[in-house]
Amino acid sequence: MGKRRKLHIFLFLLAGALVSVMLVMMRLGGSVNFQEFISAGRVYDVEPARLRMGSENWLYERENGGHRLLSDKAMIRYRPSDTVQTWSFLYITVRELSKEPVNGILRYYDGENVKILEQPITLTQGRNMIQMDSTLPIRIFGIVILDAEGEFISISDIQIRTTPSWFTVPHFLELFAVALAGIYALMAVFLVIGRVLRAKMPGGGYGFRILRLLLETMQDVIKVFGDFLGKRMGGKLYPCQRESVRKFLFSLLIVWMMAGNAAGWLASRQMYRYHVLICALLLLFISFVSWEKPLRNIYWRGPLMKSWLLLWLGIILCDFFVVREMESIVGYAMFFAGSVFVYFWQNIEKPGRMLLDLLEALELTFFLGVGYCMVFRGKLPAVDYNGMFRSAEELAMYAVLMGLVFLADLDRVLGGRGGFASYVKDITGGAVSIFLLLRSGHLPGIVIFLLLSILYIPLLARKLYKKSKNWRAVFLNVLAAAIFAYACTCLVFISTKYFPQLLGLDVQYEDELLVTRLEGEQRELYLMQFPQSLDGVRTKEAEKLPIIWRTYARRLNLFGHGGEQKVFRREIAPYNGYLKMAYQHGIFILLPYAAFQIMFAAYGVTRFFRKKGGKNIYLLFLGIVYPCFCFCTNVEISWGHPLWLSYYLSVGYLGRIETEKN
Amino acid sequence: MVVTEKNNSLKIVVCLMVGVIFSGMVSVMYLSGSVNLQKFYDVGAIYDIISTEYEKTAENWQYNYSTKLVEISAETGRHPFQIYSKQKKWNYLYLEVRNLSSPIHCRAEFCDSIGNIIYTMDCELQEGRNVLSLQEDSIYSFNLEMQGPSKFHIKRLQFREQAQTFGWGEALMVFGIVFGCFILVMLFIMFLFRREEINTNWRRSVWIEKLQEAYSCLLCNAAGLRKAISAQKIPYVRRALFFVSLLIIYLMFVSGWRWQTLSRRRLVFLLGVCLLLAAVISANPKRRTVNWKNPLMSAWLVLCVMCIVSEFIVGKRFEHVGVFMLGFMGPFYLAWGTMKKPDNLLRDFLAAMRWSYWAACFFCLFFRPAIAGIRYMGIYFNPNSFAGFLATVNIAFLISLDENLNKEKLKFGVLCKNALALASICGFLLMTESLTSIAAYLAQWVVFVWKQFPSEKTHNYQKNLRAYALTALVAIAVTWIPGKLWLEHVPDLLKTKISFEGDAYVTQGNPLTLVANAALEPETGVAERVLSKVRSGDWDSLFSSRTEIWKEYFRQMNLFGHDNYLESLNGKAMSAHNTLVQMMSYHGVFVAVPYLVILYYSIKYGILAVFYKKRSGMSLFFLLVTVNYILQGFAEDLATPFFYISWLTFFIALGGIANQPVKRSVRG
Repeated sequence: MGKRRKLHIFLFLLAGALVSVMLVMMRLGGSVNFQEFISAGRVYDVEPARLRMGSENWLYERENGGHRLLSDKAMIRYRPSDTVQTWSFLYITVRELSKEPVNGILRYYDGENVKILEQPITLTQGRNMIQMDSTLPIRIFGIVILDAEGEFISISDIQIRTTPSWFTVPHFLELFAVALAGIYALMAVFLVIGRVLRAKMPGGGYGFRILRLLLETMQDVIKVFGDFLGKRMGGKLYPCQRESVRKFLFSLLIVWMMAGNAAGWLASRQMYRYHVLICALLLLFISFVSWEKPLRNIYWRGPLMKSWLLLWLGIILCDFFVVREMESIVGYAMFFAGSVFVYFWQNIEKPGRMLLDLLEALELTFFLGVGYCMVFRGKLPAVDYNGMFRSAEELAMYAVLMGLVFLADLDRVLGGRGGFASYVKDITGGAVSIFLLLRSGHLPGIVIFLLLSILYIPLLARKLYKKSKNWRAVFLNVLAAAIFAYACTCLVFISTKYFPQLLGLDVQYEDELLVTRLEGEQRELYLMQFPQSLDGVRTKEAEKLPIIWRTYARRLNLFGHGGEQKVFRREIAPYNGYLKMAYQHGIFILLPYAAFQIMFAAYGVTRFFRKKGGKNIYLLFLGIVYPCFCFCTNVEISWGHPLWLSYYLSVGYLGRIETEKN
Repeated sequence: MVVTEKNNSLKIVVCLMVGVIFSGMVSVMYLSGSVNLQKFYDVGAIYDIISTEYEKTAENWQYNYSTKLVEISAETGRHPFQIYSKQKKWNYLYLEVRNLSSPIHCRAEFCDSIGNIIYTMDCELQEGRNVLSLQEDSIYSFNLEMQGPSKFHIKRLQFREQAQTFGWGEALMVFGIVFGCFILVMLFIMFLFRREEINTNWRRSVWIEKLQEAYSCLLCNAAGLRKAISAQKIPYVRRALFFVSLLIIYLMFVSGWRWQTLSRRRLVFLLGVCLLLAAVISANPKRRTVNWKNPLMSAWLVLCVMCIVSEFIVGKRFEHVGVFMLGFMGPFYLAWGTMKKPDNLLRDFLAAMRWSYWAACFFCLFFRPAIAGIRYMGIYFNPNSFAGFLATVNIAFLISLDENLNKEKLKFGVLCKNALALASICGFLLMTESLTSIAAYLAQWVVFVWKQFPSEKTHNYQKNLRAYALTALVAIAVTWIPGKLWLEHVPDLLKTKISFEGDAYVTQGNPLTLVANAALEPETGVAERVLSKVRSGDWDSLFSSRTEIWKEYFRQMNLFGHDNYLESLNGKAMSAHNTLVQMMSYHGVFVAVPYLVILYYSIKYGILAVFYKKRSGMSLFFLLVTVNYILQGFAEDLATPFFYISWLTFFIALGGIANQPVKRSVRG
């Protein structure tokens, strides 16, 4: 079975699954609603950290994971919103209860914190649904447990909402299985009808024709302007000049993106468009500088390029259904400037050279960035290090990317290209990357890097075995470079710890996300030692993630949303690439998105295991790293992170495979 | 031998226009004492009480329309004024009076939101400017009380945030100096670069060529679609597409969709697709380029780019006009230019316009009754908009008449239909009482009559004219007597009357529109309205308070434009009621330059088209459309994109005159 056929089957299955999810969610919501499949209304989940807090009469016992009630009328209060709002249902999931059932009172408080109603309730182990008085607007509600002094209660989840929740995992799965079977049967019928119809249309259906028209016209238009401008820019440069200019422009682009991210422009409606405009112009400039000879049309009907283009086109098309600003700018910039760039890259005689320029620009900017961190970005005690970014997570992603870049370069050097300086550069860069990764304290990042290392060991062993004749020289080089790298890493360690404070040059970004692993008593103890040192620092909690994902999943719809969802009364990113894409651009954007990731990885593997030409582990590993980060981080930092840029631009190199094949 | 284009006069005019705008901009910034590109005239907020407010009769306060004086007939005359502006805190009240019969005591009472007097201020009213410094409280309304019988003319009644620190006499001098400096700098630059060869690759014509190439690629790639439709069906498909385009424009205006971003985007996209399809099925695959190297297309390209830049920087409520023009109109222009018989496309467009008129007529006859005492609104909710539509579709029938009069054998059916349409349009127009559109309509007839005077008028022509005159008389009789009766009674009898949500029934409310202002005038009927306006002798009456709006729009001018209509008349957001002013407000002051160049060359090429031998009788279309657009645009907003049929017709017509023969002078 051909690769394309396999992809089509996968997409077919995925489309069926997405339609089924949509139908099941609408069934659970009780209405056909394409704006929000599950029609959940307003929902507020109490933060896990808040659940672990006690009150005057609710004493939290850390070792037991629950509360000990200290009086016969023990009360705890929660605030679901900053303003007064009406609510209809309260769900309390009790994990453990020493005396069952317990009676209690649900208290309603208005905006002035005045009690306005008391409602008797009974709690048992498991999920308790309490119907509330939906006519009373409240800001705070209190749970009072009566006659249970000394009893123990462990609450795992509290949710307050305006509509009833019919979602339970078994119920969802039951419905999903039925819907999936039905959808697949239906799709099979449509497939057969489609085949019959297509047999009558030799040129393909209207959809294919329109797509072909779009692709051909796009390439023609790029060719017209590209040849005109390229001849006047790249055409006037020698190849070595072209490479230098390209490297410089790539570095500029990366620095600009990182600076924009640090300055908070990615979240500013006013500044984002200018930021992206500059990025797009730089990308176009790199394209025109890379012009070598009159452009030729490229085969863009392969799965990789098709999914890449459909991804951005899908994002643009959402503009007809949702009013958004920042989300669509990403699509426009990538669809127009990115397509030009990819087209030019695929037209270059030696596309590998462009990739090397990109990697060298990444290396150069990395050392610049490390220098910046050493002077301006001090590490705060007990707080995860953000480096040049706004969050530790972003630093971890960057460190993994750079680790990958240096690993790829080292792999090339071990292959016999480059001298001692290259060993020093790659091993030092790699070591500093690992150091930054560890300093970020980002567990998924560390795990992903370990995975890469494990994958690389057999490849390294194979390579060293091949070079066994001059192992002594390699060993000495590596050893010397490792010693140098160790010294450099120590220097970075000491610098980031002391220099910025000593020099008085420490830079703090506005609204920077600072997280600490200290929580509960540990945090309190630490604060007793260093008061106010953790002001504005949030506690890192892995258990928040399911609630955040659930909140985003609840809002999935057909054409997406603008902005971010509010979780725990503040806007929080979804910490999942797939959810973010589905939330922002509609559930079906996952089709081109997933197809692109699969094809990227597949071509990465193909490129690595091909018999002729240079093998490149960078693309192979990049294709693995990005989807891995997609599962648990905010990897979709559009026009703000080098990992994002490197991933999506690399299609220019991989797309060449499709062109060569066809 | 070097072949060059000579366009020196255009360059000088463009340079002068830029100079005037630049000097105006610098002058007001100098006078207002701040460099603010977001608002050149940055003197704080200003709120004018419009003249119609103090013309209303109040307690012993009479306004004499013939002398233009306020007359206080008793010991105290009192007039209440509402402050409609959102801003309620003001620092100064400027009361400028002229022709004051005798100095009198004036008391101003300032009220809160429920009408209670917060504080009062007294002053001796004197000839000229009287300034009251106000307290910090929010003012929702105020009363002016004149103590003693007197007569005076109120020239200005204005609330200001900041005091006026300069007189407008000073402005002229500053403007003169800045303009002089600008000219000197330009001369210096010209002197410096006069012998320099500018890289020809970067000139506008190269970009236009590249743009053409890009469009040509699109049209060639989509050639398959053209093959799918047989040659006989193409005109019908094209007419249908044009008709849908006109329908989209109409729906956009009448329904609430124009205020809904998503609906608007979808409709604009649909409109673009219609035009693109029309382009694809019309394009000639053998001819890939046309001559767009003329000032009209250069100005069009510059205008599009300026619109895109302005939209990128400011963001617009009525968005995507630049992209629409470059993405959809451009290919349409090229396709039209490459056609072997470009008149076929024009014929189809005119047919679609005629269809739209008949559909509108049917709708009016059965669903929109005429109501006595109210200006007729037809298929729109505003008489002026309906009148604009009528004046535009009138062009289609005039062109048809022009063609028919020269035919050897005139079909009776065609003759009747045409006469009926022209007569009914005239009748409808008179019912709308819209002076702007009537002026445009009359101008169309003047141009039409002018076109009818070539020397070689034949016997056929004379014969057709006589036949037509007779038919027209019958048509007038039919439409104006039974037609009007039908319009007044049949929809009510059939109970099929439809009302739109925003119907501007001035008697029912909507007190802040210009239609309402016009209706406040004591005269009814077109002739009386014209006479009263001409006799009034002041600009405010002549333009139904539009001068107030223009004043406010000029105060808010800036470099990159605004996102939406501005708050003007009584604090209500409304269009500028002038296309040029609206364009400058949307896209920044400098957009006036390419816009005026477009208008000038549209007229010029329109006239040339009339005399161009190879063109058919339909060539009059371009001139008529431009005249109609300019005249309507003088007092109405035709700049807001996608709303007005006049707007679409004008920009479609540009496509017909975009392809011009090159004027070249040869230098040895």
